[in-house]
Amino acid sequence: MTSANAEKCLRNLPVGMRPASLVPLLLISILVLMAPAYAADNEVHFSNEFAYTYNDITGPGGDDSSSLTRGFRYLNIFGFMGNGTVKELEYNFNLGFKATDDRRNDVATFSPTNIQGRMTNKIHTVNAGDTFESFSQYSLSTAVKGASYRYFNEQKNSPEITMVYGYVLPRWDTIWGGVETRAIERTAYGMRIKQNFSPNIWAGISYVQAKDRPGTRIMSTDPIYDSNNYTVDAEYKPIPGLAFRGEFSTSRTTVSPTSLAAQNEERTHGTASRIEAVGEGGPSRVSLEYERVSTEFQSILGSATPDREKIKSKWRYTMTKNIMLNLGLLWFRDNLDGQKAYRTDSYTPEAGFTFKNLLGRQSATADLAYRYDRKFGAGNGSGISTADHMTTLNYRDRFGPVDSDANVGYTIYSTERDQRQAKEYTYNLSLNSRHEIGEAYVVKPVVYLGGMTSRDDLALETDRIYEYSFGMGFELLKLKLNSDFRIGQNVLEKTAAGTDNSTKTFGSFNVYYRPPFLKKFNEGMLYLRSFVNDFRFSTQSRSFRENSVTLGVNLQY
Amino acid sequence: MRKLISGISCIVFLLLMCHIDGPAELSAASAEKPDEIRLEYLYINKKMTPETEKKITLFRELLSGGRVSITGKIADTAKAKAVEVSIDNKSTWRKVRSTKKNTFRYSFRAEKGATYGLLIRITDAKGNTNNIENTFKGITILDRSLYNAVGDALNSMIEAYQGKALGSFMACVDGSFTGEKVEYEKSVQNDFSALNDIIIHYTLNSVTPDYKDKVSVALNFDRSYTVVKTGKRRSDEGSTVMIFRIDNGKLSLYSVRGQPLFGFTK
Repeated sequence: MTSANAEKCLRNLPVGMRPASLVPLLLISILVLMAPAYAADNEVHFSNEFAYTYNDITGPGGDDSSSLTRGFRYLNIFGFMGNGTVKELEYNFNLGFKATDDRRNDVATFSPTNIQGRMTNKIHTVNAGDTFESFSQYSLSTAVKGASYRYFNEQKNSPEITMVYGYVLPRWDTIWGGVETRAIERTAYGMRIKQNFSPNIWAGISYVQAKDRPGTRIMSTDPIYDSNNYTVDAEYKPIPGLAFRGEFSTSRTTVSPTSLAAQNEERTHGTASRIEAVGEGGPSRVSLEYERVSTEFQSILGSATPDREKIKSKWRYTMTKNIMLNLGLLWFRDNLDGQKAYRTDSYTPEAGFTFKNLLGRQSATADLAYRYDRKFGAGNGSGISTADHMTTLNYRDRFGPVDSDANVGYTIYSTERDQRQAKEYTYNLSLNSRHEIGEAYVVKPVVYLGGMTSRDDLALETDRIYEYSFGMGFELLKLKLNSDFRIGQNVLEKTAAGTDNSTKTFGSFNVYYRPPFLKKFNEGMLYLRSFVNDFRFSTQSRSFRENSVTLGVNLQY
Repeated sequence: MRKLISGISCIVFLLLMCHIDGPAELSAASAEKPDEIRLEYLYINKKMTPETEKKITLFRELLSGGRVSITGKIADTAKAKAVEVSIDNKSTWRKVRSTKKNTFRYSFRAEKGATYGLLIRITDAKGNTNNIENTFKGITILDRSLYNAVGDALNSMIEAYQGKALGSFMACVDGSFTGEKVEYEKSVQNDFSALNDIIIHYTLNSVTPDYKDKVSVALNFDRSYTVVKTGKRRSDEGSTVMIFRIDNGKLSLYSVRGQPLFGFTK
């Protein structure tokens, strides 16, 4: 985008969002919130982490494949927070910023992370800046840059009234930042009233609106929403250990799919409902859930999967002191309005056992689990069905000074009409130990062996992955210095023609030191982190090596 | 088929419910003192805490003004003459004022890393008291910040994901995950089958709590991986928002918005 376009973009912002008007407002808010920090019964903290990194990438494949940025790069993360009481008012504030010249860390060199202030007198609560009010799953569970107000008098058991207004932006500098931090300007506001009718029954009603400003599309194909959600939710606990929860929401949404004149606006109206029963007592915990979300339901600020009807049940049963059973069944389907050529039904039954004190060994725990994943009509409009089986076994034990964790998995993938027939074996074992030498030293050796074999029975090809590594950790207790290193190799072997085998040889070395001169800082620490990854591919032009060294200091006061 | 499954599930559920006993402590307590002086409800930091919930873990920065607030109501079966609160396991008691509606409120400044043994003693005009032990709550204020706890939760997830430890990864995902936990598990498992040698780096953009039981976390990430099918190395970057549920100081992934960091190949 050119600077002229950027200026135009700024001019398009509403008055309240322009940098010139926002910065003083924010500063005033911050100062107002910080002023009480000098009074008694208050506290402030800050934290700062500065890291300076040197990355080196060599080899022909580095430019395309490495996730590191070459050269010296810095990253600084600063936080300033406080809380306290002034007369009847309790307050909290939290400010933070990030600075970096590594574009993989952030597109902006300097960016505020958190700007938040909150005040309450136990009845009225005001939050400004980063504001997160979660009403319910379908209505609002999104943080905004704005403000909220809540009224709730616990002693009078009054209704809890919450109002929120703000911009749904991923970051603060979207408001005043340049081209790289642009986002669709989405305004959100909402209100919720919740009443506790008794300790066992509450109900809430909420309204939220999400509205995008049409002129702020990034791409011409970005949809622009104007959505309204009206939601009711409630919970009832008839007896201790049993709870019923329910939610119903209706949405009215106008969507402008693209900026092209040929595309008309679409108006949709959908509903979503769910009801859940949870029973807990004695050795059992049982839950049963039903959900139906219509095809046209939109939850811009909440969370829902449209075009889905679902039943989920779970049963956790402690059979004996050492054996626990988990059973579950998930069923869902789509095509609620018959709008697709094929309907997909998905059935996922699962069963699992946890065994403790296995074979009389107090330190032994085993988890055995099986899951069957059956789909009729596989969701691709072709009516093809799948039947996958997944079995896993995890065994954790302690042999003398060595802790072990072993995993074995076997999965069968089967999609009809010869779309997929495959088997997958996974296996890994990690061993670690801790040895104290006198009172001043601790050494912690670690060994890892793992791999996966994947067999494609249709293409008659096999992929094999192996990884093995060895590491050692050191703790110098008197010096308050921790250190560890790890070396190993990851190998991918393929039999398919025209594909690459690869080997990665890796090593890492880290040191964390809390020197005496940083003692006054709660978390004062110097650190060094370094690693080498050497990738070798059959196609040599893809091979590369990446080396990285980071020096950092972390202060928290 | 759908009706059959619904029917079977309902029958199984009802049968199981018939075999569920109420929590042992409640049954025992009510058997001892049928007309006892008791709490009708108790809020700790505006969250209703049932009698059976004995351990409460809180982040200090989520406390308004750094204080733990307690609001309770005494059941109308009794008229309280005095209400006292102890936060040090009955060593000392503080009188609190109760209203005409039998409600009371108390708050105390909590220190990082400290544990408080909360008990409430209610005395009526005849000098009878409630079952004090039933009101016990062990309140622990975590030593670490929410920001660090978010970092720890993300690091655990990334470590498990990079090591393809599905069980450890899914242990970090909440049971009420909004995108359906089983479906998310399948997506992550698909990543494990399709990708090898995954490396993820991230930096946090913002950590915003709702001061109830959730925290919204916005982050930038870059990741590199080898695609098993082709054997080629790929890297990409993006930003995402993850919402974690906070339950007794433990964070678990509740919802994902925007570009997925995990489970992106399916």
